[in-house]
Amino acid sequence: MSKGVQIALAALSIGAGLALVLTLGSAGEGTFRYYSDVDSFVAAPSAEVANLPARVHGFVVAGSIAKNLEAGHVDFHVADRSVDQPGAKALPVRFLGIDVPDLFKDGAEVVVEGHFASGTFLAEKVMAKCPSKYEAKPPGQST
Amino acid sequence: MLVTLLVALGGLSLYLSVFFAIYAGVVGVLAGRRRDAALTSSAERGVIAVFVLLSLSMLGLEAALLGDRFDLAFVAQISTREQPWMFKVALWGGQAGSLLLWTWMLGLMSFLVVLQNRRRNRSLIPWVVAVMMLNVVFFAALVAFVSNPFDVLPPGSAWSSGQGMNPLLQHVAMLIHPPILYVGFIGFSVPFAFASAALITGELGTTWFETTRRWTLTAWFFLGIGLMLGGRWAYEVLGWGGYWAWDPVENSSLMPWLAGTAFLHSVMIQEKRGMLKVWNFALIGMAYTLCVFGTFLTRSGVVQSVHSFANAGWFGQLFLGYVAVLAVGYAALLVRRVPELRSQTRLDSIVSREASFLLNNYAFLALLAIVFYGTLFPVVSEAITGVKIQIGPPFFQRYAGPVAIFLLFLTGVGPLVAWRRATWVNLRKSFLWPAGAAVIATVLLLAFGMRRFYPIAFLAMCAFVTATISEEYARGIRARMRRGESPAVAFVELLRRNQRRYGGYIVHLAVILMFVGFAGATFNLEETKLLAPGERWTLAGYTVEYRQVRPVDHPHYAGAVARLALYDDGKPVGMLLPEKRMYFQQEQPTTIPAVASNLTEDFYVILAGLEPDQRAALKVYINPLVNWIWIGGFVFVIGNTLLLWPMGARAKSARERTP
Repeated sequence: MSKGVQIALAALSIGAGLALVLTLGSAGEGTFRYYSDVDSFVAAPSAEVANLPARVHGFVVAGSIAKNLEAGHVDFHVADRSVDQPGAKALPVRFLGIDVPDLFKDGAEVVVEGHFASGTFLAEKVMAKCPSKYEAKPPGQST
Repeated sequence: MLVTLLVALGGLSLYLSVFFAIYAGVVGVLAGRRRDAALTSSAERGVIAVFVLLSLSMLGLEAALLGDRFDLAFVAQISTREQPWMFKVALWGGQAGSLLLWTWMLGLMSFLVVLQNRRRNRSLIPWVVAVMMLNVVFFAALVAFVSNPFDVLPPGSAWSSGQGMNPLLQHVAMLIHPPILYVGFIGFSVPFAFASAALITGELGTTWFETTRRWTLTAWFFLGIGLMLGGRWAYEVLGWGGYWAWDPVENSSLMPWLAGTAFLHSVMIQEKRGMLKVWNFALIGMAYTLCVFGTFLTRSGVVQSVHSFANAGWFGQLFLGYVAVLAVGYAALLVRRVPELRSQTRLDSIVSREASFLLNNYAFLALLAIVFYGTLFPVVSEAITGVKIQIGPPFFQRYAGPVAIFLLFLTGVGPLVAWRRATWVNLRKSFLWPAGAAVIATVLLLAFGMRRFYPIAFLAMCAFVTATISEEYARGIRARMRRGESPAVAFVELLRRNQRRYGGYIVHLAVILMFVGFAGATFNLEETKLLAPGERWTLAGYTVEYRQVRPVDHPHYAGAVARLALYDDGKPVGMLLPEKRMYFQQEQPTTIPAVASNLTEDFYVILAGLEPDQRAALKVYINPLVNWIWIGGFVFVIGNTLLLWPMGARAKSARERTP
């Protein structure tokens, strides 16, 4: 067997190993299903969402924030922007921490990261989105 | 008046630069095809014109920024009247300006290449000009027609002042980070252009990469500094306790750097042994294409992330089309030449320097593949299945970790193992003491109670590589000292005579120091606690006393700063003042961490929350060994400066002159 063939084989096996690892990895540790709206998460079959790592994007329902600083968690609901309309669903969230982001408040746009278990979304992380992060908006003019 | 003139001139020059770049590119192609010296000169003069026009355009935009021309949408977006001048001139604070900077740098580099090669590489130059100008045409047209910083706001809507630069970006590291990163990205266009020219003309020797070695090294060096500054900024400003999040924006600068690293190593094999020719062409193509692709990723908003600042529709499509043209065009050129690029020699043994360099290349490409996959998987999964699967840091750490250990091992092996086929004697002589160092490090770590695989493996490899490097230096210095040189002179002479080798070792040392810091991250601790004023909190040997919180008043923001007294094992360390701010203009909250840092670990604290009754939620991160990353950064700069310092070249030409 010539050296060229050996090298090709080595490269091939490395490539194949990598492909295998990556395919397995795609559903493994450190991956999240991303839901761009709360309705699709709530409507998803429970087998798809129960106890699986997910990120859900939504808005904090006004008046739903309940901080429990002594117990070390913050409860709130997230829903889609159309939450005022009939039929819109809210997802109860328990954030397992007290260090909520600066922008976290009623109506804030958030992504919660965690998993769904027995009726509540247990969030390890809450990421708030800044509505006007980098693009300009005239001063004094509201969104 | 002057401002008005400069702005008008700048806007006009931008359009003109597109046409001059088209001219220079087309004439370059003609000159190349006909091998015509007069046409070549004309193309070169076109390049000079493009550079002058783009410089005028830059000047115009700077004048607009410094002259507070808030009738321009771009100026209104990134500047305010009150902004300090050093942030005003940072035209890379917004998309249109950063693309103009990018274009200008391409123009500058094309100009420098033309200057450098007035009497060199004459047959390659027309094609080099053509390729450089292809790039300029794309970017200049993008700036002029799609994202023009000279666009005026509709009449009646002019602002009296602007929005101002994002406060998160108003930091010294961020001020110099984008231009440095751009030098890295765009610097790769020069070796890319020479590689393309070599493939087109069929001059497939080593000229194309030898003549651009300095360019490649500089680009790689700047890209490395850019990555580090980005990390430093994230650590000091973003307040999440880390320096690297495997964010798509970060990954998009890491990928070309990995390809570039592989390239810098594998060209040595082509120089010494005439192997890996196709591979080297492929790697530089990959490096530059990834630079452009990275810019596409961050500018088009295709992968959402913290610092993507755009999401214009056909801007992204144009950009992607351009990346495709570069990749497919270059691949086609390369495929055509493959039969002419056969290796002159074969690999004799797997235990040889060639083989270790080859494995090093596989490992870098494996890392690249992991990062590429992790970065693009969310986009691909969303496009195919409709469900966006996002990938977090654990994925990258899990797969990149083993590859990194293997790479560290090769960093130690590669430079010492013999060419062609290593003998048992060679191996024993070179690796006895480094292997011993690795074993001793492992035993010590185990003795100190460390039981985790990754830190032990990383640190043992660090000891191994450090030992090989010091062994090499010791050997070289001892050999020179036998000739009567003092140790200091011997050290300097060693570097001077064999700049690439011994400078390279210092860069390796820098990487080792950084990996010591990365290994520390496996022991990171993070805890949050709610404290009332006067309360104390003890964790990991530290005690924090929360004294009080004070409001902060500032024309641009309101905030609160907590006063914390920190004790390490009962001994006072000092006051820490983590802060929270809300910038009025941008409605942007920021969290400013406070860090007490030493060589062993960082005590990093943020004011995570503040209750109306003055109770504060403090979030503390204990990050071991982080400082070694920044120390490694300094050594990286020193090593690369030694590599690029023109001492070896001068010594060599002096030798040539006096035979």
